[in-house]
Amino acid sequence: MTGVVRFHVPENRLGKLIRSAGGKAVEQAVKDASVGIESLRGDFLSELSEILEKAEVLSVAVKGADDQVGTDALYGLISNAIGVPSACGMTSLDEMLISLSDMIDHFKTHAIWDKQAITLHLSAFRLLLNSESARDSEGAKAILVGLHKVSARFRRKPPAVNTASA
Amino acid sequence: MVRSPDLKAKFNFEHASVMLLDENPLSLNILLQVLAGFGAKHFTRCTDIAKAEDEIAKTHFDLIIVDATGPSTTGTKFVSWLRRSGIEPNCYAPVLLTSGHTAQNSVLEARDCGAHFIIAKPLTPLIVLERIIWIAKEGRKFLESDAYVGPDRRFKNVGVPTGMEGRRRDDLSIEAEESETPIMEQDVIETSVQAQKVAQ
Repeated sequence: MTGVVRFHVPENRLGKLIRSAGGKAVEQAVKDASVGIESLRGDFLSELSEILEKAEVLSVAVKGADDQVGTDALYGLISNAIGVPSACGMTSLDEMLISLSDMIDHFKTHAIWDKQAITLHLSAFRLLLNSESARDSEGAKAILVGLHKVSARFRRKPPAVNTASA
Repeated sequence: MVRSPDLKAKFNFEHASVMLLDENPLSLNILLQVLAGFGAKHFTRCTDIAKAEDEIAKTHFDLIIVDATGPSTTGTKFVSWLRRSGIEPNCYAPVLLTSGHTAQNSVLEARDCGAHFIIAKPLTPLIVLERIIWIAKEGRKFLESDAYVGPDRRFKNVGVPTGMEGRRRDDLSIEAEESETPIMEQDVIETSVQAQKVAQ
């Protein structure tokens, strides 16, 4: 195929299928899908508790910035859980997971590790998961603002060093 | 680009054969509930790439939804393999890539693997449906080259990316060429585009 670029239009089988007679209205389909997700809620809450416990164990086990296996395991566990809290109506917990995934990815990319920042995020995880009051918009917002400040600390450029010699 | 579908509009997903690949059983379950709510009945669930590749050889799929979250890059590797597999018609099947978080070093891989769309998690039923309907309606061109195999990524027709020279024969230069015919005077242009009151 060297240097050759080929364009073609494959048969659009999905297009033909969804236009066929029968089926359901968009409004009904979205409603039915939401009911289906809602039915999983109980399972998800216990799964999220397990994920939190595993994350706490993994974060303690990470030896430092060069522990790629440890950081990958923690990043995988946290990023894979994104989307699950929103299915249980806990959107703030999802925001926290995204913030934590961003931070771990940043640590991995720049070879840094800050155990305290990770512990802080996991404490917020526990609070948002277990405390009904922390799930309300104001309480959760305050927690998320605090976490954003923590992760922003690592993204700030270091102050310019004056290298001029006398 | 993607417009919200008319809420009263009907679509039929009953006979579609859908493959789901997600290493995380929790998010696989969410997606399954979403698609079942849409009326889909024929699913193939895969939690690893080996099973997914095996199924591609056995069944014709109308839609493939693959997750690309986390450090393993299973999702993007699978889509790249699928596009180059030569297993027709599955190698041309519409692919939706979902992702909770894309690591900085995997962003280009996700863009170039050959998926039709990338949907960021958390997923909502309406967003998933919008993307499926959009893919089903558009019938996008396919491109096969050494560097990329998949749906044409320039589907918005906004021209060559800024700062780059066009690679396609029909790409136009950003610089306007010398006009061969007289150029329109500014006052003529202004008169022709002036807002006019329309008599009611």
